[in-house]
Amino acid sequence: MPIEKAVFIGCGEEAPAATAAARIYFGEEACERLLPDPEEAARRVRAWRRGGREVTLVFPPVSETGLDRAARTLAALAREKGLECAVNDYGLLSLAARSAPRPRLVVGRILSRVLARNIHDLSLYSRAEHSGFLDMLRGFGVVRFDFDPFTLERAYPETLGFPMSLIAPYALISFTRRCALARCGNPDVRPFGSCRKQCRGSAFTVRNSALHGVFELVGNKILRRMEPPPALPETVDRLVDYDPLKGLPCRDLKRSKSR
Amino acid sequence: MKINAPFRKTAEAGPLLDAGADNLYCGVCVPGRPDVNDRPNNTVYNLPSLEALEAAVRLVHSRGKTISVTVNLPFCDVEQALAFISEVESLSVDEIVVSSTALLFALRGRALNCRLSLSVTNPVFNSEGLAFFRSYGVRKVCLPRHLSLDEIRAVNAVKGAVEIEAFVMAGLCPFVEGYCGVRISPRKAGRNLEPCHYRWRVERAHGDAPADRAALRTVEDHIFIRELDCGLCALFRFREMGIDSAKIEGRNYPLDRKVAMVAGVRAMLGLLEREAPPYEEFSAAAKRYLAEHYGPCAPFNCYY
Repeated sequence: MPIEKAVFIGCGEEAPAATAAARIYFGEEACERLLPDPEEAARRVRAWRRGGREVTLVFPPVSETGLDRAARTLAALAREKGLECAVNDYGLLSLAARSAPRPRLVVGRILSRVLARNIHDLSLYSRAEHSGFLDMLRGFGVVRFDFDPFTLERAYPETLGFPMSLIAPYALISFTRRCALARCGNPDVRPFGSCRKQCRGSAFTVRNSALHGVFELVGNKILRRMEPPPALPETVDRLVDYDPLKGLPCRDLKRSKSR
Repeated sequence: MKINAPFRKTAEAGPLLDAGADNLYCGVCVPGRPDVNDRPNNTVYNLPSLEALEAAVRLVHSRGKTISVTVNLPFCDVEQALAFISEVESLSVDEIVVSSTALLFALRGRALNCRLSLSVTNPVFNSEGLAFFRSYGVRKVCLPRHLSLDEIRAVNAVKGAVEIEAFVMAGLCPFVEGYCGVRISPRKAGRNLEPCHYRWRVERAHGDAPADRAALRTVEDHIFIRELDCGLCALFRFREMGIDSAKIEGRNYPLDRKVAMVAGVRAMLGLLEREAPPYEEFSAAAKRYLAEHYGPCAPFNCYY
């Protein structure tokens, strides 16, 4: 099966000048504060599509404010036929499913880690329920699931019933809506204090004594570098290059091991 | 506003109700059956048996209060979960707390003689999410810890017939629990390990990230669970919004600590009801209460 190549462009980033990617993933998976203005998002999506690239617009789990912004973005792009939209919460899934015209919906890699396993759970329980659940998702307009190497280990492609994308090499392990970088050096900032987009162009490598290896703290996300497995499931027909640390200079920190 | 408190032994129910809890929630260990509960299948977190649950239901009902049972593993053996729900339903529990969307899908159309509640482990962030789960018969939703007061207010404003619950004490995990992969595959296998209870340590800074000790310390402090988490001040806003239930975390905590948390929330709600103080006065009283009973109020311990 031919594999489509895509590249993930975060909000505020420019697309690399030289890329063989036929598709651009554009948006934010974990922070609605970084979502672009709807008109700006629409302008960039149209420009890429005019240049011959397909686009998947990526949304994080959204609060009521983010939901409104997502709805306005979808409305601004209503004339873009065949646009894909990756969603990461059931609310936006429902809202996007009611949009007219409806975008091609992708279950983003945050929501897919739960939903794919739920599909598998139903397949073990009852063929009819499994089939009914897949029909329900197709009824919403879902056409694909996104994964990364971390979630792929738990993906059960044989029961998924949808084509799969693989986002790599950085797997999204977790995220918070109380941003560490927003508080960096200023502990008195309230948990949901004002965002100055400090995460742009900065990140930390972190380690937890209960976990193997190192992780990257990028904005409100915990990422881990994980290469794709050598043998991909047959249903993976898209690879998305996601490397938010690319080009960032790195400094080792010499600190005492007091704790 | 009701107070929803955890318990793990039948003997804990009385003291928690005495302290002011309105609803008690628990998991139940059922030997030989796959776990359907988002906590380790042991008595550190859960009631030891269905017999213990039956006794707790009798006690709680005799006091005119209600009881919820968690079936809130985000991924579960649906058949086993349904069988377990049938068993606990027959014991007259008032509410089943569910997480798995697959389980909700399998439950749709079934006549239950108890209420369905959605666990925080299947997070609802907005009104559309609320409507999605309402269509599956969910009648109470526990909102994620990661919504601000304004975001909670926005969801609560469109709740319709669904009750809204928000966290008020303990268990402030830095990460969005329902979608978190940190809890998976800890290094020290065999232990009941939640990695976020272990400190993270910054090893490298990339790009423009600051590297001074104070900055690194705030980052490390931010992504670490403490056990003094408090949202007492938020009770003022919760009451204003009409939030239905204030949730206290900590099934595994010692009873005296659970009782103290319930008593604290009850005391603060009592203050609001009796004296309706302005926010600043209420917040100062909440901070005093926290300092006297647990420790000082600090930004990292603050829920909202």
